[in-house]
Amino acid sequence: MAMTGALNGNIKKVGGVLIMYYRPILLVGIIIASSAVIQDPVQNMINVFTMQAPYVLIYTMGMTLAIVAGGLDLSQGSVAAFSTCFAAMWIIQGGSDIVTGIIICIVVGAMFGMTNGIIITKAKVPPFIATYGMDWAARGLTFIMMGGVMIYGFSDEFLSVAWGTIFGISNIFYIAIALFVILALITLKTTFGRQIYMVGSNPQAAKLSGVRNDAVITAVYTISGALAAIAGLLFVSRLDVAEAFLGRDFALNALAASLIGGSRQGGGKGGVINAIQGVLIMLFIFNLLNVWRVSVLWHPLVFGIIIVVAAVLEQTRTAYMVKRLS
Amino acid sequence: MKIGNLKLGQQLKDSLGLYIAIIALFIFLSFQAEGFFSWFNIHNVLRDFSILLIISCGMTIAIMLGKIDISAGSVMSLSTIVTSLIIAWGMPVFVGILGGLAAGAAVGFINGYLIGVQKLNHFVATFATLSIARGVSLVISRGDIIHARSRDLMWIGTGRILNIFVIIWVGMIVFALMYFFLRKTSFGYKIYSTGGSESIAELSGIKTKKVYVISFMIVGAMAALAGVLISGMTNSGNATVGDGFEFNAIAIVLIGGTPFDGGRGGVVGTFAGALFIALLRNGISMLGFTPSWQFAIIGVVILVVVSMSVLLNERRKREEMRRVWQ
Repeated sequence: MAMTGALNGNIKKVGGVLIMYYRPILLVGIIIASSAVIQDPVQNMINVFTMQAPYVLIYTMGMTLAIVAGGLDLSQGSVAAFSTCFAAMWIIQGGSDIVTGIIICIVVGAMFGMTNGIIITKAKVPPFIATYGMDWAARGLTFIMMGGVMIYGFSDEFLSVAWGTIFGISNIFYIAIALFVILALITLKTTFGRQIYMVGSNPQAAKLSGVRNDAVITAVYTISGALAAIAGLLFVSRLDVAEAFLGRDFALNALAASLIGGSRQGGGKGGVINAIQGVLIMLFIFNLLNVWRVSVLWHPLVFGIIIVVAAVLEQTRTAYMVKRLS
Repeated sequence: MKIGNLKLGQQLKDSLGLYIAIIALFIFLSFQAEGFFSWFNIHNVLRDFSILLIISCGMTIAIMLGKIDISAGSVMSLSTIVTSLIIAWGMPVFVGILGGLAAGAAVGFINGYLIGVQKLNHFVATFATLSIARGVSLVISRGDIIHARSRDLMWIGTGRILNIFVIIWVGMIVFALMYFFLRKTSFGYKIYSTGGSESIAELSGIKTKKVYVISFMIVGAMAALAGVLISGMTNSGNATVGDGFEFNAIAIVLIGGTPFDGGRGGVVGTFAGALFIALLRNGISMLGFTPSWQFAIIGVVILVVVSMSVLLNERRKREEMRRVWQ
């Protein structure tokens, strides 16, 4: 509020543009700052865009949808661990073919997501508790199932999913872009997509207008679980190992990226386009820290400060937009 | 409408079902778990219980305000590090303890400022301070365990008064003070009314910003006190020791009958909730489950118990509605 008040006089216009488009401006600034230090900035950018961002983007989109629907999904990491380990056992020990394994993995992830959705809608448990409880339960189940071993030695066919390239760019990049386009179309162009926003911004009004809130919310968590499973599967394909510790930082990264991207905690605002901005800003900030040789111990601190700054900036931006409209 | 549930007797009656569950669990464990029914073990359960009680008493205030403080766990780790570091520098023990508590109160101040004054979403704000507290503890400890090497600090963790652990005495005193604070002081009632409806509290002349800031400072200081006691038990500081405690604390508060709506509940129910979770944690390991099973069981039990308490709360609210309408 105080910052909006300061935007008066001549600087008002400049400040308005800055605050309206602060995310792209910030992103360009960070990329320039990291490019100035290293010897091969183009390769660095290609690495972040095609090798790091796709994984994070895939599960962040699930988190963003959950946030838009008024909740959040903290169980993504352990759901990814459970579903990939389950599918890996199926592939390696059960001898099933790759496609079946992949389908099993995604279905298991989706089922965990659906369970989350049912707990949240039917038992009315707050999403934070429901998904965090599920996080513990799924992680514990993964530990029990694996019994401390790792599964490795997948076939070349499976590894080629993440290692293969088309026109010199990793497959993962295309998979992430395809999922992004599908989800963008779903959220922006379909009835179901608009219902997510309705449920998120005002559940009572949505219910009175005939939206089946419970079904929409359950579907959103199902999508989030499936996306987590897909991201986990790509990690397994890339690293050639399925282990119970996979995805410990999924939920925190996804939450931070969504918030930086401008999806509002509490629902109704944001979307996959915000997710892509948030992921890029977050990854390039960490890229900057690495390039500047900042110790990894500083990362959580920077992480926290980024979230506070992003939240305050987003609030200022909303206040500015409201003021300009009125 | 009569505000009956502020009386101690009524509150004990509200948690009657929980006490029955505790007694049932106790009897079950006494027969089933080898070595459970011994003073040595029960004494340990009570020590675990006291630490959970302290952190949950703080969390009760946050949830009574309708907010969650997920930074409590990393505040706990931060205070173990600060306390151990100050004592390791050769300062007296009470300076170390004060330093730890001050660190917790400082993080609580940031929380209160962001939530009460900046009006950020409570989840976003405490998620950010979780990262910040973890980051600060990693940076000042350089990612290492800090050894305090102090007999006096050790006494706090393992010493006894009248053959009962000091920690248990501290827990009981904190509980009594907290009960007195919430029920018998005007500030306690201000917390209730701010939690019930912020705008009405503001209109009745309560400075809600001040209430938020001071309340969250207490929440932080409580988490820090739990951290100080933990550092007494291990005579060291560790940047990850508190992880997961915030989730236990939230579950305890919810099980104890303080709902997320705000403006209701109190520490009496939290007492029973902490007893239940402490028994459960001990029981699972005494029954011989491996740590991986513990993850899964605690996650599932918390999900089930919280779902039940949320559903019961919904029913109670419906019944009250009916009473008002009649």
